[in-house]
Amino acid sequence: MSDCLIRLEHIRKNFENKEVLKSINLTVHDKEFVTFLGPSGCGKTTTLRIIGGFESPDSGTVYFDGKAINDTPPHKRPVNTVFQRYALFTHLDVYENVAFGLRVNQKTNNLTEKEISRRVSEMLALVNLEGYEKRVPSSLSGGEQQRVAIARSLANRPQVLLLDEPLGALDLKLRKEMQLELKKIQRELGITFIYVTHDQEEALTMSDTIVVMNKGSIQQEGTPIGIYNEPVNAFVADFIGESNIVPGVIHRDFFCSFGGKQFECTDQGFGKDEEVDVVIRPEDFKIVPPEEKLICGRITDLVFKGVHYEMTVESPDGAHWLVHSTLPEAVGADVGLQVAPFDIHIMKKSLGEEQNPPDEAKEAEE
Amino acid sequence: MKKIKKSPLSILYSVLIFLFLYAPIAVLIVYSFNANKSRGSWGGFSLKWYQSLFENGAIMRSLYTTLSVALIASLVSMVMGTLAALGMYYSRRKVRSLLNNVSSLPLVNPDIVTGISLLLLFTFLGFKLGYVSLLLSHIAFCVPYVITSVAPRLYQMDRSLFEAAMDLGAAPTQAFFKVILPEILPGVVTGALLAFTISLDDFVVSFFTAGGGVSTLSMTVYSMTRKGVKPEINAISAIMFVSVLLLLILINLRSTREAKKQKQARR
Repeated sequence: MSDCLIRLEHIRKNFENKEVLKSINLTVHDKEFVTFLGPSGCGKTTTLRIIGGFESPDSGTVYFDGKAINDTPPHKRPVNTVFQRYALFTHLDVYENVAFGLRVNQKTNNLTEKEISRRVSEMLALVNLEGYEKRVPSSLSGGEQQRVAIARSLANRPQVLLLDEPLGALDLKLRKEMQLELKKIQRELGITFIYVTHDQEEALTMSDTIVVMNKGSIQQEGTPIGIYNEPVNAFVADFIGESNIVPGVIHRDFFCSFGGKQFECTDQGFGKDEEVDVVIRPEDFKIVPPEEKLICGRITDLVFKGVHYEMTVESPDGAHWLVHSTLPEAVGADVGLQVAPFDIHIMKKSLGEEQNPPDEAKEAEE
Repeated sequence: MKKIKKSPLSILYSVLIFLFLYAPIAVLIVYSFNANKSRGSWGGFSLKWYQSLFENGAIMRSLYTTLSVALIASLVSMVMGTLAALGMYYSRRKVRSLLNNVSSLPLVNPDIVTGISLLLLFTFLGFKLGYVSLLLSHIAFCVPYVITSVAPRLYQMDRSLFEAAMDLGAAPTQAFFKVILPEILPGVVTGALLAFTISLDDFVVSFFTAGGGVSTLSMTVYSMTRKGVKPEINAISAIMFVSVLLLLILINLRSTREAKKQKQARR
């Protein structure tokens, strides 16, 4: 990745005495696809709005290309936004919607009508909406409106595009298509995308970098593979994909116990007999005949999920284990669960953090 | 929509209802064309009452007062009401609902109370009653109507529109005139039309706040009736009825067109 384009330093924000952002530090590089991922109320949208200029931080600085832009109003920032509900101008047709940004600064930028028309056609071609110029937004489907919103926000050739859960209102199939298309657009134009979503799959599919947020602070920042395979705490592990998270003890380097059994693992550098969280992905369990040294239990639930089966295994101590496998086992069968040492992820207990964040007040919109 | 077969009884009922509602007005309009001065007998078709109406200085002066007050009051209340609706829309929820209630109270307040309270206020302030006090009163009771017709347009609007316009490079004033105003314009125009109609229609508030020298059309008609109902009164009443009817039809057409558009948009 090349140089740093946007830098957030110690950004704090309160809404009516509620701490929404607790000292956010973040660097976004040029041409990077960054995703802010987290549950609602985690502060991801607020962070995006601070970058867009719609919200000002209580303290901290936003740098763009090395210059502080805290006092720059939104209409003077070189970023554009795709809003959650598209925010299309219903009194204008598609052409004029896309041309809006070009027209408001037509004089300062010395744009001729011909140049505007060329740019609009270019943008509509980019989002596959040629021939839609004269349509009005209300006659378009959700997916088409979404494309208009993207074309409109790209017409000004921003250096950074901010996207606030842009695919939230679309159905699954369309969402998947748009994910790939957005990624393609980003690569073609070579600009930075900052994307906000609560959908972990969307984040994994599109991003170069994922920033996992919870309760106003950044939990982890890294590549999709890094975050999926090496979550730093139970929250991230739980939020990115499904996980079995159980309390355990790491006795010494490469040796731990959980679920009443002892296992080899690949983690080191913890204190002696330190209490930890153990995270195992459901797809990393292998179902084998029961054996003394394995976690054993009975299948209590079997759900067909398309690509795989999801099974719940209840062990004698009452713990439930989520297992994904392409081969089903009958409900009631006694099985053993095998797991490879490198699939056992040991995490420090995150102090004072509940595992499942309660659904607090929604992302403050006002 | 499924067609419901209408029984003769229900048709009869509707006819009776409309007869009940419109018979008095129909009689009035018919008599305005009566050549005979007495109300009892029909003396043939004539336009002479309309002619004498236009030769009557007092009526023409009060017509001018009525129209100018209605025009100015509807324009001023259009601006004020729109700004008020915008302010309410962008204020916090608690403030908004409070303002909502406060601003819609005058709509249900009896005219007589509005009239007397305005009269008291003007007297209390030592404000001389006349054209200006009449105009101010009309603005006062028209503003809530504009607010109630602009507010729904605002709430239908995507809350991020203003931000979207700024995001694309529009300064706040540009964003307002290029995006917000066009989006709510149908509501603003309907509000102004409604205000105009209400102002034309008003008698009670005008009666209390116009003072001695100034008179609106309805006030003039009222004072004329005290000397007996002259045929000119039929004529002027007919004109007033028809013009208010036309305005109302216009307003209703606008709102049905809006509703149709909404329906299409949702599809």
